[in-house]
Amino acid sequence: MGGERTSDPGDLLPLTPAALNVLLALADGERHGYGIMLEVRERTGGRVRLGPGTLYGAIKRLKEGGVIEESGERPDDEADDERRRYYRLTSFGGEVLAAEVERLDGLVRAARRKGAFPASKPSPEGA
Amino acid sequence: MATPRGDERAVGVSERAYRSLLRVYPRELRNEYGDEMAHCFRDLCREELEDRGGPGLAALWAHTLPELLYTALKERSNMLARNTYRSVLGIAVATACILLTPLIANWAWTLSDFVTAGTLIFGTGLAFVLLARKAGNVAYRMAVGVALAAAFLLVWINLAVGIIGEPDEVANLMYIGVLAVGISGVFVARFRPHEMARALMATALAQALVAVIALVFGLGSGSPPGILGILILNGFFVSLFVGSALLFRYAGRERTPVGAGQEG
Repeated sequence: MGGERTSDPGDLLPLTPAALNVLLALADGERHGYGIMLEVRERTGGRVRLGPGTLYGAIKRLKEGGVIEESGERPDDEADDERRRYYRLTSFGGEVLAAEVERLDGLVRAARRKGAFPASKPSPEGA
Repeated sequence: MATPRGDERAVGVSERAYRSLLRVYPRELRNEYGDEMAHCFRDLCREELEDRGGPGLAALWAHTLPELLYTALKERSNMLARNTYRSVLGIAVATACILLTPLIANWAWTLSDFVTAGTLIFGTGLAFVLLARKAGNVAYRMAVGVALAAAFLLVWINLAVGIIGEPDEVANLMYIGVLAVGISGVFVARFRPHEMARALMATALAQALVAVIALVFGLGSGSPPGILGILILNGFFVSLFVGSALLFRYAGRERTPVGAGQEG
């Protein structure tokens, strides 16, 4: 994903595994960096563990691309470290995520048609 | 959840070690996200110690170190590719513009003259861009500029008219030695300002030595620019190299982060 903001979500595809995981983590609400790490780890059953370098490299590029933004609000103000920054999807980011999921869905459907992917097997998630 | 005191100390030590390792990342990323990365790592350390104790913390480090090195390399190469591309394009355009002058003025330049001049101008510009990126202050950039200008003029004048006698006078080859002293000095100095100052002083001494040898052995004395010309020209270059050395020394005193060891 480049540093320049673009108006077409398709221009940013395919997303890197780290970027896709960050967007999925933010799809149901805003989170801080550590929260994103935990969400990804739990969602993937521990198969994907984003290190700080990978996570913030992805956050930097997603922010530069206008896909995510910092949130001024603090969902858990009382118990939270005030130095933490929260991130959320922008409306453009939502479009990028939808376009990427659609692209992956197309790949999975093509794989199923060719018998390369058993329909009954649960899809493995992660990078 | 309360963490035992020993664990808290291990978390503190790990966080400090991680913070110091963050220096491998480009400054841009470090300034923007360094604190958050360190906080995240601290949280991961706490979690590992609570869940699995010391082995968990060791495993976290074993996972984090390769990730840190890999992502730092990736971030740096991304940054280098982005910045260098623009700079190199700018230098190429500037070189082409400069070379238009002899073309439009219809100077009696051959193709090899254009190629030599183009290579020299482009090479000097590129060296400035690459070296000035190490700069944390204006004095360092000025020092780089003066040193490169001196090297550029030294080569240009030698190729055009020669400093000791005619351009084909063998004694002029001694100036290759002057440039070799400067270039090897820069590599030994590894771009650190105080060491760069010494490298430029050594270059100035080499320049002065060439003049002394030329005068002692009467090299090029029978043809222009003559003894006085040799003295003036070499004095001019010595003063440029000394000036650059003083600027490097001043840049070092300002104590702004400079050099490959701190920021690439």
